[in-house]
Amino acid sequence: MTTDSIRPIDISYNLLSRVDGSAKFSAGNSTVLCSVTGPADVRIRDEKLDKATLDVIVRPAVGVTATKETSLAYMLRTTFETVILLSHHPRTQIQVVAQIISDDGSIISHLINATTMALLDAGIPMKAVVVGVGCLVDDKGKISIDPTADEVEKAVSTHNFAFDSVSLAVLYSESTGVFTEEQYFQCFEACKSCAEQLHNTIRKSVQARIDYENPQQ
Amino acid sequence: MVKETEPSIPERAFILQALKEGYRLDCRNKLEFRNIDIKLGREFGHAEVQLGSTRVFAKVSCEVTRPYEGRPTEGILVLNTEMSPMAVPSLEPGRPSEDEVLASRIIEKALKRSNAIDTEGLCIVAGEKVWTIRIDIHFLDHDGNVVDAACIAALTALSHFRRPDVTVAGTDVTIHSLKSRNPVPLSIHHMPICVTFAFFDNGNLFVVDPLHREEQVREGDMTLTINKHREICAISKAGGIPLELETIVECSQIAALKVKDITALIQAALDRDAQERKFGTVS
Amino acid sequence: MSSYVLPGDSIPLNLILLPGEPDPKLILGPGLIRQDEDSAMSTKAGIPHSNETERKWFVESNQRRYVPSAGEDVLGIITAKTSEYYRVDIGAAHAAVLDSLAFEGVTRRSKPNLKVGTLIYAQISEANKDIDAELTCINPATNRADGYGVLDKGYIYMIKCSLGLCRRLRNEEHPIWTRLRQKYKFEVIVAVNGRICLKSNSARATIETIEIANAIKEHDV
Repeated sequence: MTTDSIRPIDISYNLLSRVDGSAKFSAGNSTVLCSVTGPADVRIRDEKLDKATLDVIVRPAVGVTATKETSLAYMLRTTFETVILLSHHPRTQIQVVAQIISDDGSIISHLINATTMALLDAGIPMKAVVVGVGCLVDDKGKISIDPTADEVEKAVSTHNFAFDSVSLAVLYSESTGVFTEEQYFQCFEACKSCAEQLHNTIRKSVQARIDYENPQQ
Repeated sequence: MVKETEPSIPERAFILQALKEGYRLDCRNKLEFRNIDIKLGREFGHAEVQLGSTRVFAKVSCEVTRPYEGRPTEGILVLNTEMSPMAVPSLEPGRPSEDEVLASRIIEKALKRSNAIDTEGLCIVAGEKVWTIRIDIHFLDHDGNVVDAACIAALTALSHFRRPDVTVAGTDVTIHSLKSRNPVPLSIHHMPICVTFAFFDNGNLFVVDPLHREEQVREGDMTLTINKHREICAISKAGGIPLELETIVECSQIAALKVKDITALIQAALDRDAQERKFGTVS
Repeated sequence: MSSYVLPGDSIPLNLILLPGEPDPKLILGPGLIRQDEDSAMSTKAGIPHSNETERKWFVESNQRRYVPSAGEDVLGIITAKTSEYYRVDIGAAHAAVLDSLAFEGVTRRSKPNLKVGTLIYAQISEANKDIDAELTCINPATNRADGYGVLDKGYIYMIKCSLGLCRRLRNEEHPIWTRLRQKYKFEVIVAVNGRICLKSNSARATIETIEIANAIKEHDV
């Protein structure tokens, strides 16, 4: 079975009481809860005089943070460092904690999406919204967007992209498996069009929230 | 890493004065729990518990391992509790705070030392293969009394969990996938539930299920672990003001009643989930 | 203009140039950076506000973390003291500095000796992203305390809420105040740093304060 769009999305904001921003992002049965604290105090050894320090922690649903999570955290940090206006808050720390609640495939892209939502909720200044989309190519050369864990097992190659919402330029691209150059660009185009849809979904969720908060307007 | 500021002097005085007059910050009765919301996941062994705005998520998983040398016929129960800056922004990851270590010890005592789970039933081949059941407890939001919330989440997740069925023929062990054969629930002897009290005003005042704000101004605390058969499994009182023996007895009477209610809530959540699975509303 | 923006969205400024004014001065508040001649780019999710005659623009988001800005009123808690100044937690990234002489009628000899944990209502006298904010308990316009200073009379309770809600609640006409004033008698300080102090003088002071606090919190979503 191939799919050409992201699974049903559910976004909720401001769930946690002690952090500055939080959001839960679900696509199908993949769910990530993300929190953001900052701009806040920074440890002296991490302090940068001209910009904020971005710290990202990824926590798995099962087990402790290990190599895989550290590499995911690195991926999130480098992707978002280019988009967040870190120079607006020098000598501070912006801390992101992404907790995987359930992983049913395409978790990389949903970690990116949950982080974006939590950063929006915390009001961290950003140049653009980042959206993540993942896809796979199966043995018949067909592309499926946002695959589930079962689907990934039969994949020949998987691809993950993160796009900047303003220019739709690629901020992050990661591929595994065997694929041709042509397939890569097909995946890129397919993910890009989904990213635009996702950006609209995010826009709607933000509007719904603002409307809810300001009933008189 | 955010520095956490303690409540100011007037706030402290206010909270204590209100308690003396019999009022709590969320207009609750002193001996009342906050609303307990239990959500079960689509996967087995996935439970999210909300106690007011305190949130805990527990996930149970299993794998086949070698048993411990000294206990060849017993399965292994592994508990992992780690607080992240998501729940307490002032925490430094990888360096547990004292409170966190204490909370994790109380939960471990409640779940492992009270023999709540039948570990012998987890043996596949004596001395060779046993099931290791892993409970990961994630604290998502800390608005006081994480211990009780974690205990409810862990017990619900354990009761909800199903492990794959196995057949043993001689030395051959077959593990059937969850789809090919009905998975097996864990056998749970009893459900030890934690009830936490916070003490103020030299022990003259106490409340159950303290809020974070109340924990910040309390003079002492005590966690009683009791099951619905009114058996005390553990009492933890790590320092704080000295308590009269009568107070402890009084607390245990109150806790026994709370445990009954909480056990019923857990059972109701599990029954609801079983119904939904039966009629296929859980996809 | 749409009623809300996301980071990266462009906001037209519609500058009306006066004759003989080649490079007009304009104020872009939180959530906006200049994009080009006639537009700004949003950096936050929220509602854009503008005052085109005063040439002020900003985006109101649901931020909870305070970023100090000069002239704003804040509620803070003293976290440390030295002989010269106090360090005050105002909910921002860094603790603010309050000179021990920045109180009305205080001289070097009659300096107040405030304890750690004291609640303070003050104005930000200096703020810059590169240095720690400075506070004062003297209103620079009148050189008097004008309500700034130590809060220690009676039972005071402080709640925290989002910066946006605080900004809205600083309007005394906000419907929630009208509703609460019908039922309770109380004093309130709404600071812009997401903190609200409540004090009731009735016989049922504590429970009434708690009820008011919870009514305000219900508005914070």
